[in-house]
Amino acid sequence: MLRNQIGVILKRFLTLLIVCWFSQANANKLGNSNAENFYRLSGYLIERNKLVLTYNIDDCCYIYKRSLSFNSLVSGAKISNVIFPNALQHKDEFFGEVEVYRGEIVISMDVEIRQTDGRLGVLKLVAKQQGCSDEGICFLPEEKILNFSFLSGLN
Amino acid sequence: MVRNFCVAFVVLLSIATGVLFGNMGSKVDESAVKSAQLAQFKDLSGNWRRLSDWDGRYRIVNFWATWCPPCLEEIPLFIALQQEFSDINMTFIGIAVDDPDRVRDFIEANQVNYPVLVGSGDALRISEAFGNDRSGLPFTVFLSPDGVLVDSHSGVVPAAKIRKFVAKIR
Repeated sequence: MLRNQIGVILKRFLTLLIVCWFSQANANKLGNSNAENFYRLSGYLIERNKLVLTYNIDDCCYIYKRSLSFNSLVSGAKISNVIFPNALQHKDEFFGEVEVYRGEIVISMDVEIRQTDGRLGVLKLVAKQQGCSDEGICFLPEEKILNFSFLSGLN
Repeated sequence: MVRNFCVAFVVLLSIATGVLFGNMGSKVDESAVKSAQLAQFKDLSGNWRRLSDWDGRYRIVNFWATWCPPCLEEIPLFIALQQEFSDINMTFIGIAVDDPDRVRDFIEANQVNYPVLVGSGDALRISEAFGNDRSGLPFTVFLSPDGVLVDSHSGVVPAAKIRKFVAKIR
């Protein structure tokens, strides 16, 4: 009798433990992102004058489309024709319907770099972005600098 | 047999305790909390203020920004509670991580009835001293009159949490 009761208690406790473990695992999935690591940004040059940037945003979070901007820090390099993918609609209590990005997004742009033969062309790109998590935590607008260099005639 | 069950129970209890509490918040350095209250920020009149200026009062310090929708969502609650609890020794204090002009516009438009200070990235660093280890906003801290960190909250603060804090003061 006592053995059966202990068995029942143990089973219930095990169930509770498993539930707690899953809750904790889920909390960690949401809770570890911060301003510095909730997305990863990479970029590469394709064709001759085309730059592609890729954002990989954690599942917990999103980036506001309107917060995205890209500028060259080098006077000899110019960026134009930035093409954004379609964004998702998101309802903010204060800002109303806004456009956001989640998951992986690819943004392309034209790059014009003034080069001297035999010397490295340089592009120093500053990318600005700001995002929030679904838990209701927003991260400070951030700037990331990407450096590209290539020889004349090469991509 | 019963003994084996008891041993298993104790082992599982230890694991559960670890699972439940092992990752609950980070340790906050008390001296960093005190130092953070000495950091200076400008108020909207251009005067330098520090959190320690309100020593002797309970304080609910809210780090926020106008670009942060959840921050704006909770400010009407703070305004209402500041009014409701005007008879007790407690005040809300806002620290905006933002541009002063945008903050001023928001404060005027929404008739914010408690002190608001303005900082930039440095304000966020100060919030980290209070335990904002994700460097996100909104972040709210509850301070005792002698500057001890009583509690903190990342994200929108439930009204119940503030009322519980106030109930302890009364």
